[in-house]
Amino acid sequence: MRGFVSCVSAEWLKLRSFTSTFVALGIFVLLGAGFGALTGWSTHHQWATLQPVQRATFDPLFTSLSGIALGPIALGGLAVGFITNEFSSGYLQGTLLAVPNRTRLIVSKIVVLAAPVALIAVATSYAAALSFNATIGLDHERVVMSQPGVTRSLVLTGLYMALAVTFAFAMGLLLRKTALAVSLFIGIYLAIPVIMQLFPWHWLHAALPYMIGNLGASMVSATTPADGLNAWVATGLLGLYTGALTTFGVVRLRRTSL
Amino acid sequence: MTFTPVIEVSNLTKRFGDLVAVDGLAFCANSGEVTGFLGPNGSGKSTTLRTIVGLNLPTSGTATINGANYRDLTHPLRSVGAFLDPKSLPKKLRARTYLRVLARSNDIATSRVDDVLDFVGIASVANKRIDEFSLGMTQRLGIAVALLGDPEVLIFDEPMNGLDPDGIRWMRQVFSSLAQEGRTVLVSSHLINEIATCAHHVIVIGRGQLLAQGTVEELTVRVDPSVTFSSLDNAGLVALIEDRGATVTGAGENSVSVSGLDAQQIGELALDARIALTQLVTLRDSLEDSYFELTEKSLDFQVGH
Repeated sequence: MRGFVSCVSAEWLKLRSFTSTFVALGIFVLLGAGFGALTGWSTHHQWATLQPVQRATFDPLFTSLSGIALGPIALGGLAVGFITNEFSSGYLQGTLLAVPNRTRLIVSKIVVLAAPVALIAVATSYAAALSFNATIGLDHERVVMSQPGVTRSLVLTGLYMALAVTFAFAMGLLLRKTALAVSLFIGIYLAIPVIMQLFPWHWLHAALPYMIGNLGASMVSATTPADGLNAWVATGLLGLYTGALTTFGVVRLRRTSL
Repeated sequence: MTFTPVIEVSNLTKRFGDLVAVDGLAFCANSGEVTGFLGPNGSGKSTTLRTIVGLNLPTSGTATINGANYRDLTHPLRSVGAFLDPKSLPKKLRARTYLRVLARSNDIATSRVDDVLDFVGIASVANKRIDEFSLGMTQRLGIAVALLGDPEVLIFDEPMNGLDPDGIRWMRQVFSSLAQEGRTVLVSSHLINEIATCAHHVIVIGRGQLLAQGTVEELTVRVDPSVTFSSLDNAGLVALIEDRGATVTGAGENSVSVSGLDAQQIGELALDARIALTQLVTLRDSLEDSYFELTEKSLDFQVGH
């Protein structure tokens, strides 16, 4: 435990020392909160042109959080690079000399990456909802914080981002190459669901709710989407994917000569 | 001062696929001594050192420090300082930041960071990013990294690569004084002269196998000394010498070089045969000659003659 605490403290100092950390987090906050303001403003001006069915199903919270869907793209590179840069530069050797317990090292890295991302994502989702309310005006449906599910939704947004960056990190751990891991992560997150929809097969469409982005949408939304999973089921599944990938990465690292 | 074995490599074999990098290697490095670890490029030195510090897992055999596997140490930098590869330094971090990261990871007092920066003489550039460092500064930073936790055991892989003569002399002095303080210092090199003057004990390997080990003096005499003589009847004396199974390794205008008999034996032969000697000299090889002789057959890549 003593070793774990010092390792977390060291990795935290390291993460803070890279400028790219703040660039990635800054982009994430700007996108998240900015989309809140943008969607509020856009809804305010387009409300008159919306179809009755669109008005009926309008979900102010989910709309304000649209920028969160871009979160994994903004933060994926940071998460992947936090481990692949050490592989590609040879710097991992120096790290392993200081912390030869590889499980401890990887868990520490995930903690210093995922914990701040979770906190920042919760704050960003609040900021997104508030800026949505500020720009949509008083005569439209706004995010009501006291409504059931809203707080859960904002908290799960934090958890979703934490799991997404851990997933990206685990891909970096397994693939070891920055470019490869980033492209593959974005491919799994964005491209595969689109490709799945292009095929006319029903069974393939039935698998869509199990894709990362769709699981994230289920977690973020205050109500269960029509063709989606319950928020807690989605959280559990994404946790399972991430846990399995990370465990595989750690086991492989422990057996590698490096 | 007592010399106890601290680093113990025993029956160590490491294979990478079909390549046998280390092949049944066994040796010790003692406290209070600088142990030189010599071998040509590709002989398995780095693989062995990386196995000692847990970067490689042995295929078979063991490599321990004070009886423990490096991977089982909680705060290894406090007992073992190693610098194996300049690439193991994070280029984008400032030198001081990196040392602070390492200090935190092993619960080492932050004041040690400035101590070691001062000691290796790079305190004035410690706020530069490591990729702005010259090769010499990088090697000094590597020494600082190894010394950070004030460890009893120090391991360096070719630390003098790229250093100027002043830097090499400084580093030799550092190694000697660390050993004098009772620490265990293991230093590898492919250039014997780099460490001949500071190593107490030398281990020579080739193709992953132990070729020789001992003190510098022992290794120097291990190779047959050759004796050169001149006499009033060289041909007659050579015939007698060859009868005794020794070989003539060279013949000049007046002098003959022989290996297989020492000067005393040749003197006695000449006395018995009543041949007057005019010159009798033992030419002892330098450690470098012993090294070349030992490693010659194990070289993977040889320049054609």
